[in-house]
This record gives sequence, structure tokens and C-alpha cells, in this order.
Amino acid sequence: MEDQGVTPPDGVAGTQQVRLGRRSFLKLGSLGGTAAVLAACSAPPAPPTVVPPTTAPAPTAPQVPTPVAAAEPVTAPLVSDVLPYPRLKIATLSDLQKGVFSTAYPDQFSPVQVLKLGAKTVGGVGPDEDIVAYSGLCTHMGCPVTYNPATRVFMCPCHYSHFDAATDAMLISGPATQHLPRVVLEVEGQDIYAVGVQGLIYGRPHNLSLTEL
Amino acid sequence: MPVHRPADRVPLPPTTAEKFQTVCHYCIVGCGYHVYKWPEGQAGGLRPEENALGVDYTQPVAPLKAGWIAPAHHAVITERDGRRFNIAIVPDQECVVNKGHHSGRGGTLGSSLYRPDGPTNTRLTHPLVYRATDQVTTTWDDALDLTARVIYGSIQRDGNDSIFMKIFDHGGGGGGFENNWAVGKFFFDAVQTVNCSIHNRPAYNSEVHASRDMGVPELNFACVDAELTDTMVLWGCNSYETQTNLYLVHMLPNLQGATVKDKEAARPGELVGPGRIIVIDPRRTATVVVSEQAAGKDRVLHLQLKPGTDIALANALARIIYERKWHDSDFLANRVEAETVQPFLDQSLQIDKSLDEVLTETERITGLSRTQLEQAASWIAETKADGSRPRTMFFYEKGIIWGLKNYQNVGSIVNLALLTGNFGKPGTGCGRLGGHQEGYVRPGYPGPRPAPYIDDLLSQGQGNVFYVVGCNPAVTTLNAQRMRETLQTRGKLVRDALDANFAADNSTRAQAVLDAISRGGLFIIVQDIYPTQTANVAHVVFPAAAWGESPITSINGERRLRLYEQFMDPPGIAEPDWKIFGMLAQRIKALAQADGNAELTRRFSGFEWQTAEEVFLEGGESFAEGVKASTERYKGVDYAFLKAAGNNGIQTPVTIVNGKPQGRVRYFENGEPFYTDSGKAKMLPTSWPGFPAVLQAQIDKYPYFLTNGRNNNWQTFYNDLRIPFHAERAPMPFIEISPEDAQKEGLKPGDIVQLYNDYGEATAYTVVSTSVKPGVIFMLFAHPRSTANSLTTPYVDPEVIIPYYKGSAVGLRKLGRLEDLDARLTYYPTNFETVA
Repeated sequence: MEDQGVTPPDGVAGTQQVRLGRRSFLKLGSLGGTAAVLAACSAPPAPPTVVPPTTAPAPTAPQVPTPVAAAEPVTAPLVSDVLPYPRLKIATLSDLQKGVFSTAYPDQFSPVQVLKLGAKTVGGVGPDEDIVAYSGLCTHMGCPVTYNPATRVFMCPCHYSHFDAATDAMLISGPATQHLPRVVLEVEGQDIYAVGVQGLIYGRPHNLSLTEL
Repeated sequence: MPVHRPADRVPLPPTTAEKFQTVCHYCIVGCGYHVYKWPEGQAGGLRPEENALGVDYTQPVAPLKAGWIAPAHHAVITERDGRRFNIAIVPDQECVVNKGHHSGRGGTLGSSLYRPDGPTNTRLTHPLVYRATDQVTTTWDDALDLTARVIYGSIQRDGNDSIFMKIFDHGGGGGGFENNWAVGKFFFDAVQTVNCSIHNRPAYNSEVHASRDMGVPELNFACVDAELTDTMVLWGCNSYETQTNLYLVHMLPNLQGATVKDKEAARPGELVGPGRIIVIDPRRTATVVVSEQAAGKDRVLHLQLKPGTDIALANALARIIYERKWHDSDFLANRVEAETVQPFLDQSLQIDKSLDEVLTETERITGLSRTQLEQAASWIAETKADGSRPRTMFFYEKGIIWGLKNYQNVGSIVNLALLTGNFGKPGTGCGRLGGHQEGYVRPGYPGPRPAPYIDDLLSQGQGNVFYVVGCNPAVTTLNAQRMRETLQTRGKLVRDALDANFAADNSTRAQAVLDAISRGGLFIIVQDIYPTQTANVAHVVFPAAAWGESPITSINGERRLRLYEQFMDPPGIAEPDWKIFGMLAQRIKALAQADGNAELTRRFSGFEWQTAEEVFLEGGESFAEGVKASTERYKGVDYAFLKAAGNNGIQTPVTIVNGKPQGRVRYFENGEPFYTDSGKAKMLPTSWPGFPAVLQAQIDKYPYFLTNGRNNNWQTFYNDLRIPFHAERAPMPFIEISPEDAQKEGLKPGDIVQLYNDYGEATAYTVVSTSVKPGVIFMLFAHPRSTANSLTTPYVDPEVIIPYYKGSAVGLRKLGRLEDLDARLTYYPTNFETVA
């Protein structure tokens, strides 16, 4: 990756229409002088096949809806180490009647689970301040985690890392070395928007790397 | 947000990055890693030809494929000269131990590195000397000179045995063959004291004397055997949490049936299928729960025995097997000393009693049912449908080693393995699973067996100097509250003497210290990487190099010897342990020479090493010749050989065949003799002893039996408390208490409690869990914020001076809540089973 200006793209090809921040330069912290290029690419990378271990129960694939473009481009915060996350509508309040809704953010290769915890939580959004969202990929070796709404626990079927959704997806125990990355949300009317990710999503060097090419 | 999350990016190593081979330094499994190092400000590209990993980052790294750099694998470090580098520590896919996997320990090696601008900046960087009211930074010359004068003066005045020590004897971080040889040469050849003890115990001894006495070196199998066996018996070990990749990479696939083809290839003509597991533990651990989820409950048997009753259980299982004629009579006839069998039958099997009598008694002692005992015996030894014997592996660790009566505890399990002939074939073996790695090479210990119980002697006022390296007895020794009182009380007499002589030279100060020692004082030296609770009361602190800051070599639990390369500078002017002992010995030698003392001049000679490999090679020369060499024997191997052998190394003991080093996968193949004079193994008579009086008194007085154990974290949390991911998960120790007892005590998850008994107290937060039965409390072990070992009794197995760390009894008092933890700490138990 070289230092390059960011071209605000008018979309990422394929199923997504993404509006990006208007900054021209991004300093990527310890990446040192490099900048992420969020240019539109002609075609997204081929979706990886999620191969469960031959020995583990097959994880259920998350439902990946098509994210909807934000109404207006949103300027990313003017902080030098924040990636220019797209603002994407990822769910509506009515999607959460069962307590959990599967979607994807910031691109279709990153499954996300949106939860309505039923109790106010730090950083929770929505009328009850209880809606949160986390990356659906285990931070150990990338298997999709499953969610149990009764216990509010995420479990990885490959190596059994467990994460407590009610405590910000903290690892309960297991071989993972990062809590589940948290997707930052905003609510506008009935719509839930994703605006950023805290922590690194499994399988990439930075969270927007798949839109960089 | 309440929970720490790392940055949303890591730089990729460019193709120009330096690459090193190494092994995670924490647990016995010893997973292979590669270290990439490149200047800060540079990064490789997404395409496979643009980064040193050769990974295609233009698409997400696929699940279960190694090659992703997690944030905890990465750090930006600063070298001594101020240059800054990216470091990425990535699991090695080609290493047969971990096959690209990492645990929560190895996966955070990057976060553990010394960074002057990060949470690990509390590392010891310079020597410290207690001067007047405080420890102050000083030069190596000054700190070594004072220390040398006190040690030399103490030996001169009060003899060799006036020097006491408690030092690592293991491999991995803070150990390795290099540092172990230096410690042994310094204390056994030069100081020549018998008052030595090993990092986690109060004497100089083996934790598995019984196995060795029976002719069975304890590391006799390989990881691959866990893939090839029919039944795994995990006795007092919670491998999912504490030997994670042995469990996940080798045991779990066997349980799930993924290794059946390998079994067919390794065991032609035998009826094989998915493996089974028997977990023997007073707790329903994560290992039990995960095994049930992965394999189904019909192939998992958990024997949740009453704590401390393992010998009774082992004896009953052996009795059932013998009664049903499931034992291996050929093996007993050919491989076991005949005269040891009858005492075993008499005492362990109580052959004079009926089976019914024995099982009734065992049910009462262990709390297990006859059905469970019969099922376990069947899984271990019942002949299969095709007439072949099942292959069974017996794994044990701290639940046994630190259980009630170490010697017979270990022996009773080795008895079972001998009775069922489970040695010398793929898928068999019996040994400890291990905590640390190994790397022992030293001159012979000059003391007796059983060795002196030095914690007791220190508390009684004996010993002039207490030299502590790479361990933290204020937290981890038995009856730790007594140790802290001893160190503070006796240490203060020396501090007072140093306070009074703050302006004096070292000659005067050393004399003042020796005078204070005559009045009951104790001169405390700590050599470590962090300011531990023990270092805080020391008079001299030497800063040591850690893993990655100096080359070391070690073996893992399957005796795999590898080179752990240096890839960064030690912080400040810290030095590896071997070098510190070398400098100290040279200083003592100089004092002896100036004094005209030829004897001590000679003893403290030969410490002028310049490189780690010199120490490695010198130690290697001490191994005896012959087939029955010690497990660690590596003579004939050098760093260049190990560098070429990579992260798969060579499995010790090494023999030289046609000029080339040759290792071995497992012991006792092709009729290899057992390690006794006769070449045959010995059975050990084992009787369940009941609880010792000092413990029974606590049990009679306090309502809860207290046991303890580990979680995902490493040892005394010395690194983990500086790694945000781990530190926030374990800010203080927890207890696990049954829902019934929690209700009785009015306890909710997260409530802070004090535990207490006649020996000490500890404070912890509450986890309500079905992992323990009513009447039993489990506490996380060795957390420095409040240590479970303050509550252990001073009881040790008198035959081998190994403590019964796992058993005590306590009262409980509720102290309220630490409200800030509620938003940022999960109170779910580590076995994942939530309690409504």
C-alpha cells in the first residue's frame, strides 16, 4: 500500500452502494505513512467458502442481506487514525423481534449479528438503549459464531470460544485473543445504521481492506 | 465502550521483513511460531507476493487457515538504541505440534513484548539496590559487588548451606537449558548448598518421583498418540484451558472421529473408531463440557470425585480390571518385576477383600457410583469385539501432582498403565501433561532425598541469604501468608541495617547485612523480569531478559527440542539469567582471590561464558552416555542443527547414530527396557491415606472444602496483567460456588467475598457455577491480587516434600460489590454453563 489520495467512490461494485467519507488522506497509525484507498473496484473478491472443520458441527451461515445506501454521505470523524467507515443501513427495529438479526458490515464478507439485549447497555442504541451489534466471525480462526438469545452467549463451533453479549462480547473463555469486534450503531427512525467497527475483523489487515483494491 | 478492543488494523510484514523461528514460551505444549520484524512505518501489500506471509489479503483469510495477524500478535517495539520495529508473532502452520493454531496465551505473545510506551513498561530495566528507605536504580557493578560480598561473607562465616534459593527448573520463558545449567553450576558446583527449592514448591525434588522410581520417565508419549488412542484418561488436568492445543489439535479430532484413518494406518488389523475420554476432576471443567459438545455425552465420562480421593479411585479401577481379567497378563509377566506385583495386589487392590467390599468402600470415599466405576474400568481396559486390547493413555497433572499424597497419587495411575500394558505402542503412554516446558540440565543436587523443606526452615529463622529467580513465592508457595510474613519480618532487619549505612561503601554495608543476619535477618535477592510481590521486599533486584530477548532451547511435553531465537533487545540493561550468574560468580571469585581463598576461587571459576550457545554446549556435555540417558539428553546437538531443524526440532533423548543426531517419538517401543536396574517396571503399593491432621482440623472447623486451579491465563499473570485483553478478563481472582451454596450465603455473581481459615485469607469475586458440588469452593490459582495459596496448609507429602496445594477448608464472608466491574466483566463460569 502506498500513500495515495482517497477517491470518494460512488459505490462498491456488486450488491453494495456505499458512500464514503470525504477525506483525502488517511493516516493509518502503525501502518505508518500508508493510506487506505477506498476506490471503487470493478468486482468484489470472490466470496470465500467458509469451511467448517471436518470434525466440528457445521456452523449456520449468517443471513447476509444487501446493505442499503445511506441517505447522505457522512463525513468520517476528523481523527487521523479512524478508517473512513461507510454509514450503512443494516437493519430496522422490526427486524429485531426475535432478539437477533444477521446482516453484514462493512462489506458482504463480514457477517454481523445485531442484538436487542432487552436491558439497557453501555453504547446501546434504540428506544431502550439495548441494541448492539458484533462481528459474527470468531476472532480466533474466523469461524462464524452462533448466538443463543436465552443465555446471550456467542459460541464458536470450531474451538468453543464463548463471548458474553451482555458484557460487550467479552471472551468468557477459549483460545480467541480479542473480544468480538463491536459494530457502532446509530438509529434514525425505524432504521439502524452501522457507522464503524471497533477492533479488527478476522481475516483482514484492516477492516476496509476488501474495498481498498 | 466498556470492553477493551484493539485497533481496527495491523500492518502486514513486507517481503523484506526479518523472519525468526521460535516456540511459545508458556505452556508445556510448546506451539511453533514465526516472528516477523520490520521497521516501523513500513508495511507489505495485500497481494501474496507483496507480504512476507505470502497470504492473499485481497480476500478475507479463510476460516481455520493460518496466516491472519490478530492485533494481539503484533506490537511496535523499541530497541536499546531507540530504533522502532514492528513485530508480528504468527503461529507456524508447518509445526506438527500446533499446525497453525494458537491459544489465548500464545496468541497474545505480541502484546506481551516490552514496550517503553506500553503497559509492559513496568519491566525491570536496571539493577535495584535497597539503599535508604527505598530500592534505587544502580549499576551492575554496584549491585553485583554488594551481593557477592554478602554471599561470600555468608559462606565464609556460616557455611555453604547458609545460602537458600528458590529458582525455576523448567524450560520455556525464564528457563531453558542455558539458564538452568548456569543456575545448577552456580548453586551446586560453586555455592554447594543443599537448601534449594524449585519455583513452585518448598524443596528440591521431582513432582513425579514415583513414576521415575517405577522405571517410567514421565514424558514417554507424543502428541500424535492422543490422535491414535482409544481412550484418553485426563486425571486432574483441564486441558482445554491449560494445554489448549494438545486438546484442540490432537485430542478433539480423535473424539470427533477425524483420526480414524490414521488409527487404521498405525494399528493395522485392529477395530478402531472415534476416541473416548474420561475426565477425573472434582470440577465439571470446560474440558468436560467441550468434550460433551464435540463428541456427544456417550463418549465422555466425567468422574466428579470428592477432592483428595484419587488413590482410592485408581485402586478400585485397577481392582475391577483385575477381577474382570481385563489386565495385560503378558505385559505383567514380561515387563514388570514379579516381586512388586503381590504387594500391589495386597495393598492397592485389597485382594483379601471381596470386590463388593472394595467398591462399597470406594463409593463412600469418592462419592462416585459403582456404575461409574464399572464404566470407567470398561473404557480403560475391556477387550474389544475383535479380541484386541484397547489402547488407553493416562494423562495427569496438577490435580494429581498437587493432590493428596503426591507419591502414591502418581504411582496409583502408573500402576493402572502397567496393569493394562499401555506403553510402547502408538496410542499408549502414561505421564504428566505438564505446566511449563522442560529444559533441565544441571550438575547433581548435593542434598538428600527427601530434600529439606526450606520454606519451613526460613520461617524458623534459618538461612542467611534467600536468592529467588523467576518465581514469586510471596504468591505461589504453600501457606503463602507465612512466607510473606517471613520475608517482611526478617527482611526488615536487613533493611534497617542498610538504612543505617546509606552512605557507606559496599564492604561496610555487606558487613552490616551480615551482622543483621546474625540477629535473625534475611538478605533477599530477586532476579526477575517484573517487580513481583517478592521483588518488592528484596534488598537487591537483578533485571533479567525475557523470551525473545536472548536465545534459549527447551523441550515440550513430547520432548521436542527447539531453538527459540532472539529477535529483540532486553529492556534497559537487563541480561539473561546465565549471564547474571556468570557475572556474579566472577565477582565472588575475585573476592576469594583477593582473600587468598583457593577453595572458593576454584569453585567460582569457569563462569566466563560469552554466548548462550557456549552454556548450552557445556551443559550438554554433562549428560551420561548410553541408551538410558535422561529424558532431556541433547549431547551432540548445537544451535546450527536446531536452526536447520526448525520448529519441529528433534525429540529427545538424542542419540548419535552414524554421526547424526537421532530422536525418538515415544518410549518403550520394541522391548526397550524400563528405567530400573532390572529393566522391568515396578508396581507401587498404594493405599488411600485419608486427610492429614492439619487439614482435617480445618475441614472440621470451616464449612467449605477449598480447591483451586488455572484458567486460560498463564501462571502468576506476570505478563497477563500487562496485556489489556487478559487483564480486564481477570482483574482479580474469582471463586466458583454452587448455586445451592450461593443461595445459602446470599451471594450473587460478582459479589466480593473474603475466604479465610487458620492460615490466611484471600479476596475474590463470585461466579455461581454448577462446576462444583455443594460444599466445595474453587478459587483461581496464583493471582497476585489475592492468592489462593494464602489459604493452603503447610502440609506436604513427607516422602517427597510436595505440597497438597489443591486441598484446604475455608469460611466465607461477603464484602459487597465493586460496582465498576459490573459493566465490563462477565461473571459467566469458564465452563460456559450459565446458571439461571
